[in-house]
Amino acid sequence: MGKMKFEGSKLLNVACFFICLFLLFPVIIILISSFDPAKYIRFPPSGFSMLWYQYFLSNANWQKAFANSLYIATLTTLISVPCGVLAALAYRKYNFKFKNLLNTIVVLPYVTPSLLIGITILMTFSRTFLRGTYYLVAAAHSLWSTSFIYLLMQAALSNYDLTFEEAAMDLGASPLRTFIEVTLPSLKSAIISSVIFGFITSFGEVTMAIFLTTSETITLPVALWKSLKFELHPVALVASMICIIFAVGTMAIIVKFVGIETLSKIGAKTEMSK
Amino acid sequence: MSVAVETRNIVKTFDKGRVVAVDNVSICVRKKEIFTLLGPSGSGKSTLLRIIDGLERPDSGDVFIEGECVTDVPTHKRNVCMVFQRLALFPHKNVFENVAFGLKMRKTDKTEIKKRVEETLAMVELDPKIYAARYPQQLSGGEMQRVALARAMVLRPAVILFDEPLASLDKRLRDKMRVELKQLLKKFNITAIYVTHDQEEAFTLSDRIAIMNKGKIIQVGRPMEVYERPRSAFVANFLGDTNILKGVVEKVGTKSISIKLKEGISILAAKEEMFSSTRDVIVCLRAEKIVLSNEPLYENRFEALIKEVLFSGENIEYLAELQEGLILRVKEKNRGQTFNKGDKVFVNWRLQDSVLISE
Repeated sequence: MGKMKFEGSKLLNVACFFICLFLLFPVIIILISSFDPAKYIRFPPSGFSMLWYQYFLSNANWQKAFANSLYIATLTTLISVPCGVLAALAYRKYNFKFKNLLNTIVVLPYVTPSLLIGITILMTFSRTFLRGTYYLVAAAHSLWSTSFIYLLMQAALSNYDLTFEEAAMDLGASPLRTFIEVTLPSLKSAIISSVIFGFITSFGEVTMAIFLTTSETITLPVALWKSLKFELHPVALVASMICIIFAVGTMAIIVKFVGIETLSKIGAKTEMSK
Repeated sequence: MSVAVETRNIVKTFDKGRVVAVDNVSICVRKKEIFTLLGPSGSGKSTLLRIIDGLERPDSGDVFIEGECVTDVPTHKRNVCMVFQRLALFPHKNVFENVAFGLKMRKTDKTEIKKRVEETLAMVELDPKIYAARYPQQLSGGEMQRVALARAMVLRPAVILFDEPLASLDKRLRDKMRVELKQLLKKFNITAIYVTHDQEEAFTLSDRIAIMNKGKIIQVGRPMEVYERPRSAFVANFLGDTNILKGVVEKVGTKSISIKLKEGISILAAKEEMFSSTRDVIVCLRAEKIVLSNEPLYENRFEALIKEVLFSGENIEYLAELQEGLILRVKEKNRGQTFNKGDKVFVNWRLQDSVLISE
């Protein structure tokens, strides 16, 4: 397919330039400021140094928060990817009782404010052994990322031809072999995106984590939020950069695997369910 | 002649019984036979095929493959293979892997797999050296068709099921593949059940045709038989261009029967014992069996006025109005136009071309 050449007016080009600049401006400011050796956050910077990056990497608390985030994000991915992928497959392939109701329930966490999810989960589990553990945070994150992965997989599955599975079974493959030989390879790129999305939604999530973490299980975004709120310490800028790099890198990989079209389909789907 | 596939009283409904897709169907397909299920869309032919393959479960009735009841056997354990409408070649596997898939699932020995895949590719006239490593996206429509066939053939199933596999090709290629397919199936003595809504395809391919409508088998027979001797108005109407006339048996003679049509004129048909006097009948008159002339020719001859001339390349179709207000469709081979709109002519047809169906 050839790409259409876009011929906008000069004014439009200028407007686009400024909009992009506006969107990127905060990120650029943070990037520049994070190299400032000063003891408090300010702009423009007074010099260039890796001081706060070194501080971040050597500080035990930040290290712990970073490690916690990685751990919780991994747990979330391990829970939400199988759940979301299989739920979407079931929705696409089978007819069963309460199908529409179940569909709504799976999507519900995605459209519920995460503040509410955080508070209700805290209330529900505050008297149990799960309180303050990694598992409870991961469970809360999974709720949210399962519905997102579900929507992503549904968008990917809308182009998925079930005849391939029928053909495999017709040729003698058991349902499990069919899943391994045909279903998984056909959905490879969508599943890779799900893994990345599952990981990054958990890694960057702050609202639920504020309610559900303790000083032991604190995540990077929560540590960042606390640092900004109570200390305004320049290392927060470094932590922000880490979060941004994770997010941007992830998006780049996803766009490479599923393409921007599938992403916009998910957008349309969530609009509908809202 | 032994039986390859048999279905007994198959019933399949959808939507909690609201839609009856297959209605008490029993068919019997012999070994080495090409058996076609022909019908309009929604007649249940594809559903019946999927039931034989095991992709759908019948509500009631049984499927037998080589004498063994397989109603409760899942698809992957049945000795049948399907060539799908959109072929369903696995896009992430190359030609060799596609054809080898079934053998691999049956845990066939590696060297045996290689031998049989290459053998089968050669059978469908695809050189393994050239094609084995190609992916489906790199093949032409005809080549994909052959790979799909090879993928089924390599397993040597009791029967290969075809679900309109040529429907997606353009007409020229479709006509070519049709002939190729028939030659292949006959050369290797393959039993086939073929689903199509294209009657020309059904006629050229099949040993026997089953005409389906609304989930029921209406008539089964050799192509010539169902075409020349339709036993219902549906079959007569569905196959070819037919004039359907209603009338009553007026007089039974020694060689012929005279039938008075509801439009008023009397026509003659060859004598058949089952039609006695005063009986209501339907007369099917194929458009291509009627001959136009300036002079009366055959047993049935009527003066008519050409109302319309329709040119379709190979054929010319006339609408001829008989004096009594009855309009007949007449199809003639294009040998240069002989009549014009407004011409007075004779329409003629032979006794045996008035095919009678009891109402």
